[in-house]
Amino acid sequence: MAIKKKFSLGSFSLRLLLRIFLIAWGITVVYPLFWMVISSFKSSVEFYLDPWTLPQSLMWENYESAWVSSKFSEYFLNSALVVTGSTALYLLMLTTTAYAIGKYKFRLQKPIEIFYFFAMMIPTILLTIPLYFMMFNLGLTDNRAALGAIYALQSLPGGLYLLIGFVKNINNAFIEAAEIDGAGEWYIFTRVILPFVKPTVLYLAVVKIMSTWNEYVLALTYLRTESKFTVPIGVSYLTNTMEYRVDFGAMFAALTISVLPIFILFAVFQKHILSGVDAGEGVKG
Amino acid sequence: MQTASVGAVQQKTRKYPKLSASKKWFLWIFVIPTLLLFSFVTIVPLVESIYISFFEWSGYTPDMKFLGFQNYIDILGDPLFYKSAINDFIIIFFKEIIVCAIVILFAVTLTRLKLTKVENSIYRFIFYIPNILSSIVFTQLWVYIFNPGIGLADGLLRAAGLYDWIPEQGWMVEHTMPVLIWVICWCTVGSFMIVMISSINNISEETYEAAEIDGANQWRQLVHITLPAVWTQLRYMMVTILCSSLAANMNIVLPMTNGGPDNASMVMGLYVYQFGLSGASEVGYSNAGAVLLMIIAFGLSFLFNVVLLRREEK
Repeated sequence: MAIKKKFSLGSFSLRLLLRIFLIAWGITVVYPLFWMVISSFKSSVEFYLDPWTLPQSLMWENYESAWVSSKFSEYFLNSALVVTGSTALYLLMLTTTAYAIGKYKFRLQKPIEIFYFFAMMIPTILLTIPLYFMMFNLGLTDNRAALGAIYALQSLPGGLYLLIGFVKNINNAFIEAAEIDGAGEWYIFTRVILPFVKPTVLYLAVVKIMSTWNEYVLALTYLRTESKFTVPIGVSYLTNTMEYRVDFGAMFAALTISVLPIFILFAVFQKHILSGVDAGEGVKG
Repeated sequence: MQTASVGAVQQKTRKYPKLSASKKWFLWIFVIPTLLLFSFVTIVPLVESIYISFFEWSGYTPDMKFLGFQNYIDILGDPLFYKSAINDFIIIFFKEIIVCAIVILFAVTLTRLKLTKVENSIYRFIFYIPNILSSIVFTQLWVYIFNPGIGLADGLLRAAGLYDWIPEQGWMVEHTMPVLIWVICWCTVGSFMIVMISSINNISEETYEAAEIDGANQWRQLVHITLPAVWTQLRYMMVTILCSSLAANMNIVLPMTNGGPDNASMVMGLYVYQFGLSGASEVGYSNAGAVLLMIIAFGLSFLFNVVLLRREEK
């Protein structure tokens, strides 16, 4: 209550000024997206006449055009396949490795942990070209499964860095109790370890799904056949052809389609993603 | 001597009790394959890129010609490489200043100024949105916003009657670098702000209350309490921006300008990428660039850490 009292007139103007800053920055985020959505419902003529106005009528045809003739249905399916496969592989490798490094005592335990830690500092994007030619010689370029596997593997160190700490914090008594009951490793892993780290794994999974869905440079490098394109490559393909075939409505519709799943995911899991804040508030009590 | 060291080794092995058979199976089924696959997509290409950087190689044929350090000498003699390096440093310089300033400003505002809870969560949610968008999506949006004629930027200036401010050849041609810097900062602020908010929330409330009793205003609280308390976090943020940007700038530059117009916005990452995968396919040359870039990135982060640590000691 003492806090409320201290805000006299002087800090009122300060707060007003800061609010204006916050709102201005908010507009630079929200308005482009709002503009994208309203433009996706306009005809090209309408868009040219005045990009600012609201659409006269909702041109759902734009979405049909993006989904069917610009083949976003295909890109969407490709992305869904890559994201699902990649995330499943990532979670399997991540959780099993985190469990072994966090809880097993063996000679290579520390070296492996340090290895993953230093690997985190390699800017993987700089490895794109040598990796591309390695995969090319193995005949694995233009291959969605290989791309998904690379996504899964390259994001391992960051996830491990976070998860190993949580695994180490699990009380050994739980594991020992299970071992006395004669439980196998798989049982301990799935029934004892995973339930403890579920929130962290969920957070890592959501972040991983988002980054895989959005990834652009690697997909651009690896995928050559149009029928294998993921959504971001489809978007860039569409915007590049915009120079010859002007259909702004369909382009903005395609952009909206590509953002929608990720936006829904963010809205649903915003608590988990913005949880750094919650943790801090929890400490503050 | 030798017996002593053997003894030490034995003692060391005894420190690890024998793993049970099922634990061994677990290691061999999951952990070892993961480690091998991971090494295959990171360590192998890393070593290979250093090896290839000493050769002339098109990438698609088996013939490679050993050149020694010639690729490195050629790159260091290429004016375009220097231009890319300068562009990278311009971007990083402004990115550090703008992002740090905005992150501190917003994080302090959202924690210390006691806005309503609803307001707070709306701002956090909105400011984080650029971090969840694909670079191809938001770069295309900004390209259309800065598009001459139909873009919102020109429209805004026209509406305000500032016709002289409208660049004749368009924003992307006349003000390429400022536009890029703006978009890069815009998409970076959100995630760092979230981290900064949680570290400001970790500062104990009593410190601020004591300062208020002593009559310290918001500015003095910021300088004397908040900034020193989050200094580690801030340093971490600056080093992260520095290290990630050298490689990550191309994520924005590639879809926005592809280095254009006329290489005006070329950055080192894109330089490496284009030489490796353009029609010319000078893979050896491109790898030499990648190796140089990694050396610069590691060197800079080391230097930056040393300088900032020393200042902290004072």
